[in-house]
Amino acid sequence: MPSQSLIRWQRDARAELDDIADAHAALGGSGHSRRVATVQINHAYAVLLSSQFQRFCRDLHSEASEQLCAAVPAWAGPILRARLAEARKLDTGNPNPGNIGSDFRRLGFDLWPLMRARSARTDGRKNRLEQLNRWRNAIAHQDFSDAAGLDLGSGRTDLWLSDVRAWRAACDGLAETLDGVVDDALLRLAGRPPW
Amino acid sequence: MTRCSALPVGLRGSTVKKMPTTARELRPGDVVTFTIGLMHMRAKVIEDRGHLGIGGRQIVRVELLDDPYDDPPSRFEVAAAEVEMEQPAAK
Repeated sequence: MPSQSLIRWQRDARAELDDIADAHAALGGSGHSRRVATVQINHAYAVLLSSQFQRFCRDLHSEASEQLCAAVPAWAGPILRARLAEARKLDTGNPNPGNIGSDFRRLGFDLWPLMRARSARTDGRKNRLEQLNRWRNAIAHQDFSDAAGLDLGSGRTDLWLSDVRAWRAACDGLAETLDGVVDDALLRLAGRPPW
Repeated sequence: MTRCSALPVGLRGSTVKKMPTTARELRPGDVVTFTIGLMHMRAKVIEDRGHLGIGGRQIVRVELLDDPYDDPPSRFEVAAAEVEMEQPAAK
């Protein structure tokens, strides 16, 4: 059984991302104006994808925290809940692998080794997630000067729809693996299936 | 004071289903009070985190008011069922 966070990612986030993909498909016109619009939509799609994945990670962290709080004496639950979410990196920072690993370590497990053990595709997806967040920052700050960091292959630094689709597939895979890892970890910690 | 959910404080167990609330759900701008450990705290709701709690309980993110120790103020999450409404957000 998946977490509410994964259900929300697979239903609500998917619908919002599909909307912007549809907007891309509906682009009319030709020539320069169409190319400009395409670039803008690709940029918006990338930023939206990163923010939706950030929401998924925050939601899963909160949901997992609630499960841990339920496993301690009632008086300790509010203390634990407050400490687990205080100054959480995912509340203000990008959902990059470092921030995700740091926040989930508060719950008592080291996420990325468990992710790797669960799926051999984790490292490739993690690299795509890092690339997505570099692009998110570049778009948000309108600073595209880091050509090496923004290299999409063979020196290309113009964002294509296929790039965002690949990032989205990576986020889908990471979300499922993350959900499974958290489920397993909470079962081992609390002694019962969390959801 | 109005409790913000029909679910009682300290309710535990993953089989508990969400119950209808008599008071409205918390929303950003509400000022609430609650106890953590031995400390009574006052905070403003800054984000509705949704029904991510056990049995679908509402979770909110709050920012402490009158916080003598932190600059910027502490921000963390609380269960709506465990707080009291002090001042509803202006409409």
